[in-house]
Formats: sequence, structure tokens, C-alpha cells
Amino acid sequence: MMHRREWIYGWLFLSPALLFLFTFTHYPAVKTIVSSFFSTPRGKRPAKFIGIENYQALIQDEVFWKVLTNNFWFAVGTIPISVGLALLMALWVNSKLKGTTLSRIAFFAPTVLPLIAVANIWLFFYTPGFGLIDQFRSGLFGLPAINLLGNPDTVLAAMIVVAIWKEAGFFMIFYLAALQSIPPVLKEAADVEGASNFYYLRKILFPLLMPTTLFVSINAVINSFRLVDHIFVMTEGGPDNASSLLLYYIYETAFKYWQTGYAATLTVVMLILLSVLAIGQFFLFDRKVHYQ
Amino acid sequence: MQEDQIRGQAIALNDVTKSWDGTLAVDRMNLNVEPGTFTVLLGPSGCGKSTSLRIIAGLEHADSGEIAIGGKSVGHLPPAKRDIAMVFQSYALFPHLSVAENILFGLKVRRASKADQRTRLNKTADLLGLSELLARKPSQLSGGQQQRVALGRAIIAEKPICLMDEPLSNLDAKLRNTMRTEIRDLQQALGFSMVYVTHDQAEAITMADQVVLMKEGRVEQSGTPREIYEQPATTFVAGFIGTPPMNVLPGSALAAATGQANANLDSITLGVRPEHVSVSEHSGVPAIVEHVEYLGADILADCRVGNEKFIARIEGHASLSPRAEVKLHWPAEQMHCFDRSTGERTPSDKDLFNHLLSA
Ligand SMILES: Nc1ncnc2c1ncn2[C@@H]1O[C@H](COP(=O)(O)OP(=O)(O)OP(=O)(O)O)[C@@H](O)[C@H]1O
Ligand SMILES: [Mg+2]
Repeated sequence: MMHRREWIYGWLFLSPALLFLFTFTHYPAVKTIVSSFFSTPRGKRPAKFIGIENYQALIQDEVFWKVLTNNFWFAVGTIPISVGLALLMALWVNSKLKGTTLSRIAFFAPTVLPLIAVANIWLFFYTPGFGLIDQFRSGLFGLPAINLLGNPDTVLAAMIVVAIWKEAGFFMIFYLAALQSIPPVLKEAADVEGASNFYYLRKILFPLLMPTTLFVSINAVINSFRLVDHIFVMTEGGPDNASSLLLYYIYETAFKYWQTGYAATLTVVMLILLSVLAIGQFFLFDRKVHYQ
Repeated sequence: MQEDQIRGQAIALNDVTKSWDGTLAVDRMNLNVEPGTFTVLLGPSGCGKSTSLRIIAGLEHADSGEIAIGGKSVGHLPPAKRDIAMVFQSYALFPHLSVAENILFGLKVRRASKADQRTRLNKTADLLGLSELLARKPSQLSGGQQQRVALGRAIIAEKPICLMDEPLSNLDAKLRNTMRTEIRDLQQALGFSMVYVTHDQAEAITMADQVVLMKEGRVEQSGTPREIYEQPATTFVAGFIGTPPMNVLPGSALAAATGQANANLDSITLGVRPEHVSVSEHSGVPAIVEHVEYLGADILADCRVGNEKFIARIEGHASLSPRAEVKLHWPAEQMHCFDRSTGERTPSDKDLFNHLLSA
């Protein structure tokens, strides 16, 4: 009898959270998958089932392949560098060097700023002629102005730099927390045995930070698909879609061109991609991760 | 077994001082450890034991003074160059490495040959009874087993000096007793010099060749356990050593209790160990029994002499009841005498004591 009562209480307590989860996550997800097999409703024409037509269109869509490639390079450019940088900064901040409070704030600042604000700051850096970068170039070396955001060859790299700047500080917090939880006596034990700093880093610190690295890199992968705010402010995907990413393309398709059926198809692709990547990472890392 | 002997090294601290933001942790400390002996740094919490040990290890730098190992000054050397091994209170095992890898850590750092690693690992694991556990992670071990792994990591390289900071404080009482003997046997068998930190006086007395009792960063007394026990240099030492420790009370209190006023008694403090006290019918110091604790082999009687607390440890078959009025007696040669103002030991006045006790 008791069991049954507890069971009912359990569900009662869960129900508010479940309600929100279903309305705002599960239902839309299922709806998206369903929509991806329907045409876009227009005026009096309701959406009708068209099977995999949307998916066939997707394969033919050059812009889709372009933004997917962009996203690939964007991920490859941001993830390793922002994670690596985060680790370096955390090691630096965690060490007993002077001025750590100041550097903690400095490294953390990009994290508290909204990405839109970050984008605005970088817009100022990148502005041809007047921006900080060009000021340096002409002031120090007498070089001509360059338009990093206007050139298809450089715009993606410029976006990658912004994302790294924004992300590294955030990931640093996780590394910092992990480093603080490693007892300093381990370093002393290694010192007594004559281990160099590098040996300690390689054999003790890195393995102990593995759970954090897994967590941070899954977040980094998701963020590389999720973070597109700066594209709105800085380039709107241009020039010639050179800086457009998958999510931004989905936004454009759905809310600029109102092709909701096709947008749903693109979203499904993104969902599958993210799930595969996250699960893959778990399996890849799992054997190497030591959980305390 | 002669080739198993490591040659221990001497350790000498000369006027070593260390302070943290103005508070003295170690104050002009002098210490001599003979090669191959077991020295215990003993003292209450915060007296600077760990700091001294860490200065010897090179994990902390002294503000002034000299540190020598094997006759060579090592004050400027990092821990790795001092040829020492260390066991930490928290064991400091690497949680992601197996027992074998933990024990071999130092050898791997120094790139010892695989064959050398294997023979030494086998020998160490045999010695410490860890052979079955080599593949486990530290989290899969009991406290005592973790302790042994930490010991293994310290002894595998057969360093001439081993430093330990309260290595047994995380273990339960029974295991602590076993490990005490094990550590002592290990040190004797291998022959290294040991500096061992504890705040447990029983541990110090049972293990040490030399006890160094510290108080507020200074060495209060150093000597063999017997010297420390039989001839405490100060009232602090007298009150720190022994279970229960020595009764220490002003001479004037004893004078008042026995009604034997004597000017000499006013300037001294007297000490008597509880185990030397007996209950006498005829003569002795009058006292009131307040509380009786039966320990089996003997009885601990909390008494009051005048206004001073006084503990007697007497044979178990004696019968005492609370609120009884008794006379306490002890041999005059078992009395200790200290200067009342400095607390330092002064020669005893036998006649005076005999006079006191004959009351
Ligand atoms: N890193 C530190 N920073 C500031 N003060 C310290 C530091 N380490 C120790 N102290 C101070 O130095 C004094 C001696 O400390 P130490 O750790 O040597 O004591 P201890 O004898 O080992 O005590 P315990 O038995 O509690 O371990 C204490 O007053 C302590 O507060
Ligand atoms: Mg200590």
C-alpha cells in the first residue's frame, strides 16, 4: 500500500517539471520530425505529406552543404583551441602567481558578457580603417586597411576568434573548479619523488582532469552548433554565406523565407548530428576517464 | 639480510626559524638525528611539527638557519635532490593509478629499468602484504591498505631518510597499534633514518629512539623516551607525557594540605606520576576521592588535594569509593621538582619530600 502512495506522490512532484519538459521540448521535437515530412503550408494550402521530398531537396541544396562545411571548420577551429586555452588559463590562474584576482576577472569577463555584446566589441576591433586591428596595422607597420568581415576567405576565421574569446573563459571556470578539488599534497608527493612539472601535468593532472575535459568538450561541440548570436550582429551569414552556420541557416529558412517544412528537415539533421557527436564522445572518452 | 640494509643519513637542523605573516611557526629549532635512528617530533596541535618536517623535506623554506643531511647543507635544494621519501597524513595516493603504479611512481620518474622495477615491486609488495592488491585502485582499498601503499611508495627506492607526518591518524585504534609495530619493524629492518610526526605521546614513547617534544615552535625537550618519561625537563613535558600525565601542583598547595608550611615549598612546583601513588592508612597527603574509574588491571582515582586535582593509578584489587577521605603516599625519589616561575626542572630536595610525606 505504502508503495502505491509514494508512487503517486512521486509523479505529483514530477508533474510540473514534466509538463514543461513535454510542452517545450519533447512535443516540439516530435512535431519537428513530423513536419520534416510535410510541405510548407501557404495561405489556404495546408501542409501535405510529401514523404522524403524535403530530404531529397536537402541533398541537392548547395547552401546546406556550404553551411555544414562552415560549421565543421567552425567546430574544428573553436573546440580544441578554446578547450586548450581554458586549461592553460585555469592552470595559470590556479597557480600562486601574483595578480591572480585580476587575471581571474579578466579571463572571466567574456563569460558574463552576452554574446551580442561580445560581438559588438569585436565589431569595433574588426572595423576596416578605424578598428583596433587596423589602427595597430597602420600605426605600427604602416599597412593598408583590411576588411576581415567583408572577405569570404577571412570571415569565418574572424568568427572563430570571437567564439574562442567568448568560450575559453567559460570553460576555464570548470577547469578551475576541477583544479581546486585536486589536493595540493599530490603535487608535493610528486615533487618529493622528483617528478618535473611537465611529468606531473602529463601523468597526474591531465588524467585527473579527464571528466572535466569530457564535460567541457561535449559542451564545446554543442556550442559550436548553438552559438550564432554573433553572426546576427557581425555578418548575417555573409558574404556569400561564407560565415553562415547550420543554426543560422535554419533561422533564415524558417523566419526569413518562411519555408517551415524545409527548416524542420534541417533541424532534424542537426539533432541527429548533435546526438551522434555527444554519444560518440562519451564512448570515445569513457575508457580514459577516471571518475573519483 | 645484510645487503638489505640502507645506510641511514644524519639530519641536523641548526637554529631553524620559520614564520607565517608574523606568527612564528618554528622558532630557532635545533635537531640532531643520528643515522639509522627513529626520531619522533611530538607536541600539541599547532606547535610546528609539520612545518619542521616540511622544512626538512624541502616543501617549505626556512626563513633562517641551516639544514644538513648527511653532513651536507641542503637548505637550497628542492625536495627531489634531498634523497628523502615521505608519507603524508592523507597518504597522497594518485587516485587514477593502480597500487603498483602508485608504488612505482618514483622509479618511473627516474626511469629505472623494467627489471629493476619488477624486482623491487615484488619485494616491497611481499614485505607489506600487498601482492594480491597490485591491480586495484586506491579507492578500492581499506584505510590500512592505503596506508601500506603509501609506505610502499616511500620505501621502494630505499632512500636513506623517510619522513612521516601523522601517518596513522586516519586509522582506527586497533589498526593504529598494528601499524605502529609494522612501521617500527620496517625501519629497523631497512635501517633508514626516520623522522616521524605525531601528537600522540603513547605512539611517540613506543616507537622512538629519540623523542623531540615541541611547544609553540620551540624544542621543549629532546631525549630517549625513558629520559623524557623519567626526567621531564619542564612542567609542560611532565604534563604531556604519560596516560594519564604527571600530577603537577604548586609546592604551597601540598604544604597547605599537609600543614607543613615551608618557605622552600613556595618557590617550586612538584610533580608525581599517578602510577607511583599508593593509598596509605597511616601517613601521607590527605585527599578526597571524587571519582573512581575501574580499568581492570588498575583503578584511576580522581582525587582532590586541597583545591588541586590529583590522579592516582592504583592496583585494581584496592577498593575505593567516591567521597572517601584517604592518605596518598609515594616514594620520595619519584618526586619531580620544577622552578615555579620558569617551569624548569630543578634538583629535588629529598629531605624536604620525606618530611612532607611523613605527615
Ligand atoms: N601555510 C600556512 N600559512 C599560514 N600559517 C601556517 C601555515 N602552515 C602552518 N601555519 C601555522 O604555523 C603553526 C604551526 O603549524 P604546523 O602545521 O607546523 O603545526 P603542527 O604541529 O603540525 O599541528 P597539527 O598537530 O595540528 O598538525 C600554526 O600556528 C599554523 O597555524
Ligand atoms: Mg601537522
